[in-house]
Amino acid sequence: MRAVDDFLPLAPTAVATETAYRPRPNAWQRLKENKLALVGLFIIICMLLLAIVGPWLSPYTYADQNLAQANQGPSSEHWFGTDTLGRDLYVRVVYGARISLAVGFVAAAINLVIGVIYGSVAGFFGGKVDRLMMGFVDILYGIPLLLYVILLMVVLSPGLTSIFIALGIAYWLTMARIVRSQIVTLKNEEYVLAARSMGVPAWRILFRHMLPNCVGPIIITMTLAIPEAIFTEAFLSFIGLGVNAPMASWGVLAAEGINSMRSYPFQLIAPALAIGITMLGFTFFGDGLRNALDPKGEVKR
Amino acid sequence: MNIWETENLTKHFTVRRGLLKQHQQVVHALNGVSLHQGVGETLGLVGESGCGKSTFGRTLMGLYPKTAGRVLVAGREITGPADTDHVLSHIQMVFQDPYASLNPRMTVRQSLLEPLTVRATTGTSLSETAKQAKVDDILEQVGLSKAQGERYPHEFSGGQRQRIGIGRALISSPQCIICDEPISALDVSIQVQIVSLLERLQAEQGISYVFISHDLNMVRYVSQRIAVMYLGGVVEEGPTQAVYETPLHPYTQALIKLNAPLAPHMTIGPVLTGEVPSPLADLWGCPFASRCPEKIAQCEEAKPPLVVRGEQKVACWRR
Repeated sequence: MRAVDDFLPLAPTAVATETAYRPRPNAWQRLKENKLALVGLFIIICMLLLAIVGPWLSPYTYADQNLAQANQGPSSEHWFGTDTLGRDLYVRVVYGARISLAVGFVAAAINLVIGVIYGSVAGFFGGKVDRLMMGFVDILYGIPLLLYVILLMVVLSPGLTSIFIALGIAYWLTMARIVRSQIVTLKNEEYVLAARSMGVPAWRILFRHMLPNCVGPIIITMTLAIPEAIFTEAFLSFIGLGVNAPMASWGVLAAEGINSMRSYPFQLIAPALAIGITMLGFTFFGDGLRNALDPKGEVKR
Repeated sequence: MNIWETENLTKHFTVRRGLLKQHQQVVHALNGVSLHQGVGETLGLVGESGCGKSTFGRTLMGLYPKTAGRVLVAGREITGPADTDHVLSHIQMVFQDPYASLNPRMTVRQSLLEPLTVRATTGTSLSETAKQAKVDDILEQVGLSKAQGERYPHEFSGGQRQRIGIGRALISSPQCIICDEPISALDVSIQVQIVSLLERLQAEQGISYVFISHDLNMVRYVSQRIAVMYLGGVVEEGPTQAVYETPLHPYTQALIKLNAPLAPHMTIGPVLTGEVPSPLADLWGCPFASRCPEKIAQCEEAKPPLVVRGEQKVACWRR
């Protein structure tokens, strides 16, 4: 009996059985189920809040010096201790968060806007357009970031603006390459051909059919690019091309902390922990976001 | 009245080879194919892999720009991309691989809704509720529930996905659906399901199918007329029964004798030895000459035209 039933084509019973249906969780609901992603989001929000209101919670400012209290360990008076000039480290770390996070978010925005659009246009049109556009990227790739920054310093003064411009030139290149290669692969997918066979216009194929299928690599590249940008800013500040003293970013603080690592390790630990925790937050959140946006992601039943 | 008609439809692909892409070669994918299809008719298109069956379907739809020849759809000559909308509102396509032909990030409803949203002729004039109602209607026609419409393709089996693919073609209310090997990626039991769905739709709505396949038995079962293709050209065409009972071309004879689905690089029976010529080569004579058991000198010299023999048409000097 059973074998016969299996071969009945399109039996009405087989059609009508699908009654139990639970509304599908949307991306936000799936994100909420991912504890690690929520932790990441919480960390990012905490860091942002600290960057905004943190300095007000302390009576000191980032530039106040008190040589009598130099190199003090953490206490109720100075939460993270003080540095060699007697400046309060807590205020400097939360103030540094403003600069470092700004750099991170600007890098992310550049990646998303310039990198994704440039890469997808190059990949989508292919041929000569692709070769020209990617050739330009290769040329930019070949020039070290340091060179841009030093040249920019000649024109502009060292500071956040020049760091943003340098990031603007250099930080979308990897994203453009990754998106381009994804689009080139997706172009040969049958569902793209199917979309064409239904008369979907080119721009809509790109934005509705191809880019959503690149979300995974885009988010991964971005979660890697944000910490990279923060480290780059730290490096540029470290060699004196970044923000000016007495302003401080996490990179500057870490660089100063290294000088007295043996005698006063807390001066390094505070900014290093801030960088580390933020990176962790971005990674967790990015990973969760990627899973939440993927309809194939596991759904907890 | 023909839904579509092609006259000497030719498609060449250019490939560049070598380190500096200095060698240009031409792949003769279609060499002057002249076919037509009537309303409510199923035209079977058979041939080995690489003989140009799929290329014909795609060139007919305008997915590949044609190299030469004429295409008429519903009495209108198709000249360029400006006519795309006209073609697509008459002809739609069902793809071979149901796993690859649906966008994994769009729900079934979104996939089905898209043709209504993007094309002026099909449905931009419809209100949102009318569009949704049409999607529900199509889901029901292909045997899926409304609730299943909210799901993503990966939650369906191969057969269900192919039904979604058929629904997506159906929603533009085409007169003709090109089925590009719609069942070759499916299990045999599911193949029957899909074919009976296609037959039911044909009976209800009078849709014509171009049924591209390398499974001769399935083609025999579904189609009223058959065209056998070999290396980018039609070698024999005629009513299914006539072609199966009195095959004229030696290639058709061998295929029917073989009586099995074709696979790439298989030897077709004891009669057909020899190599299939490369579609890159410029051929003077009959494309089948290298494998033909009845070859004569003339076959090497000139390409035989497709001539009428009774109900059938055949391209062979000996017939």
